Amino acid sequence: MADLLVHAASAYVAARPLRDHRLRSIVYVGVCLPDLLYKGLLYFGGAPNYLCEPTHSPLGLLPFCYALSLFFEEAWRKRAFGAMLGGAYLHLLFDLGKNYVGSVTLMLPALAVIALVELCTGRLRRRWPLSRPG
Amino acid sequence: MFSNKGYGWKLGAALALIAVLGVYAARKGESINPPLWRCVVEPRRWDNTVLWLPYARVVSVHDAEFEVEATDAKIRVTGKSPVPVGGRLTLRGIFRADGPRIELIASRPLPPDLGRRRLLMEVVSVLVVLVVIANFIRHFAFRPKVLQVEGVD
Repeated sequence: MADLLVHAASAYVAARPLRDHRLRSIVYVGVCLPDLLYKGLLYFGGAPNYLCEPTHSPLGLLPFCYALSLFFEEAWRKRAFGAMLGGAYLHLLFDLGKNYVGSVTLMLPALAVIALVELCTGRLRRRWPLSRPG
Repeated sequence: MFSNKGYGWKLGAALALIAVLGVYAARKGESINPPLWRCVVEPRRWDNTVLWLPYARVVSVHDAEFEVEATDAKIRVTGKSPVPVGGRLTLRGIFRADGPRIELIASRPLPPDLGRRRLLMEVVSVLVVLVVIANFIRHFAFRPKVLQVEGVD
């Protein structure tokens, strides 16, 4: 969980092209999901470390995302599953560089990326109002 | 697959699969980097196992060995300590039942302000989670009053 700002920044950039704000909010949840599940099982469930490992494996995340997607209304489940899984896989992708992502020095660049994307998309929106997300 | 048909069975199957995967991973991973206290309690069982101590504090330093404290257990380490007494380090080594002791493979000193850095990251991470959850609730929370007002319009 120590590097969630970096993970959130990555999801912020990746989910920016999505026009649906609700879908975007699920991607943000998805990118935090592996750490939330891991720490939840570890600290609140008292589980040993290796029991929590499936939360950080590509196949292990499938049943987690599927079970969570079932709590959405029927029309939303497939999209919720895809968005959550996409976010979670993005988390795993960034965890490949764990030694670097987990560094406190990357927090400022992560904030800078969010600000830069916000600035650029804001300018684009002003220039082409039709590209405003619905 | 995502319909309401057999909802309970689908949810139950997913939860059962999660439990099976967890137990399988726990059994498979039991012998990989076991906690120090387990090795100290059962030295014969864990003899010649490779250990990783992510965080240890040097308690005493001698000529060719030093003693570290990690995860509620103390152990002698054969090798030269990279930090003085009271310093913190991360190390990998082979657990030997005679002693018991650890034969040092590699070690790296940890910065003294690691705790403060870690705390900062944890606080920021918790804030990020709160923002993400608030954003999710904003989009998905059931708000009957809003629906009623929209219904009137």
